[in-house]
Amino acid sequence: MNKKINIKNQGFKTPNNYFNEFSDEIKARIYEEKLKEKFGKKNPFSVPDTYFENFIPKNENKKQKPQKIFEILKPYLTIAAGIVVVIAMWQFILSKTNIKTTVINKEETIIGNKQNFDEYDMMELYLGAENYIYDGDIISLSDSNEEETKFEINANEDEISNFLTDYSDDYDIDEILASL
Amino acid sequence: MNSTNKESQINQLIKEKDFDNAFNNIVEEYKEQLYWHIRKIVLLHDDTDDVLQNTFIKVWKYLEKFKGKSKIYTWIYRIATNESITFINKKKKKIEESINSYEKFLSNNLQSDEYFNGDEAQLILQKAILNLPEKQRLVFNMKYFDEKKYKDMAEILDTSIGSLKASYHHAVKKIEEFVKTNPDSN
Repeated sequence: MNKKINIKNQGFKTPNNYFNEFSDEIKARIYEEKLKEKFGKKNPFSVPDTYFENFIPKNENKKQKPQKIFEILKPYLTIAAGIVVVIAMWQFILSKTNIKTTVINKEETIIGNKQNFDEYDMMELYLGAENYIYDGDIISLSDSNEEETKFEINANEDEISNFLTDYSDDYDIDEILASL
Repeated sequence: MNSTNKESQINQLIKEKDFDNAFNNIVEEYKEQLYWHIRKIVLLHDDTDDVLQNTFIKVWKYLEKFKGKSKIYTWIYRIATNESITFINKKKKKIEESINSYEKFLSNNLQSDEYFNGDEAQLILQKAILNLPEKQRLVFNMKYFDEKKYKDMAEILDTSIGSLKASYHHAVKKIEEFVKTNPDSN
């Protein structure tokens, strides 16, 4: 009972900042009154006849419960999984075929190379290589005119050997061959 | 049945998980109030109808998750406000890509809108409102036309009463200035 009573306010309180905000609030009210005088509060908008009477939300599916993301995506995921399986199977079949083809190709290449090696002697290789060295750059054989590579040289092994020995000082044969 | 009784009836239906009935009651109780709330933000009837539809679809979707922490009224008003702002921002972006100002587009369209019956003065008032920043526009419409209490507005807009009062003060002042400087208003 010893509680001090604020004599001025008789113990009553106001919300925080009440008096600070009051002047702003009263100004706003005055502006508002002016607007009311000038424009009134009449609603200038209207709606089509019987709009509210006939208003039914268009969510026709409202009987359905909201679907979870997985449920929504389920058909798409199934299709995607199917596509992945088909691609995987296709890849598997292709890889099997490729292995066989590669083996066959490799065998063919080896045989082919062997035949080529037999058919073309060292001289031909050397001259052929020389033809495709131009100013130090090696031009790809595949880009060349095939006819240019087809020439016949009739030489026996001794002649080739001699030829190579004669020119070996000027050209590094290993390097040329390696570059091919 | 007054709105408080209606609100508790809807709450009861939600508690009983009778969502269909709860939803139908919500639509019946709030469709007009929400319509006018949205209309004052987006202005055109067709746009309002779109936003109102979207609002009720959202209400339906999330009705099962409504825990009753706030009033139904506050909750759906908040949804309607967010839907309206989202709609405006999308349209603004679209229109400002092709024409120039969305506000200009709206005020031009308002004049030709068959569901706008305002006279010249009311058109000027709407143009003045369109010039306000988003929040001030919302606050002005809710306070001036709908006569909502600051307390309810604070819940709907998720802001403080002090900030709402300041926004309203700035809004009315700006409108007053707009009207003064606009020669058509006299």
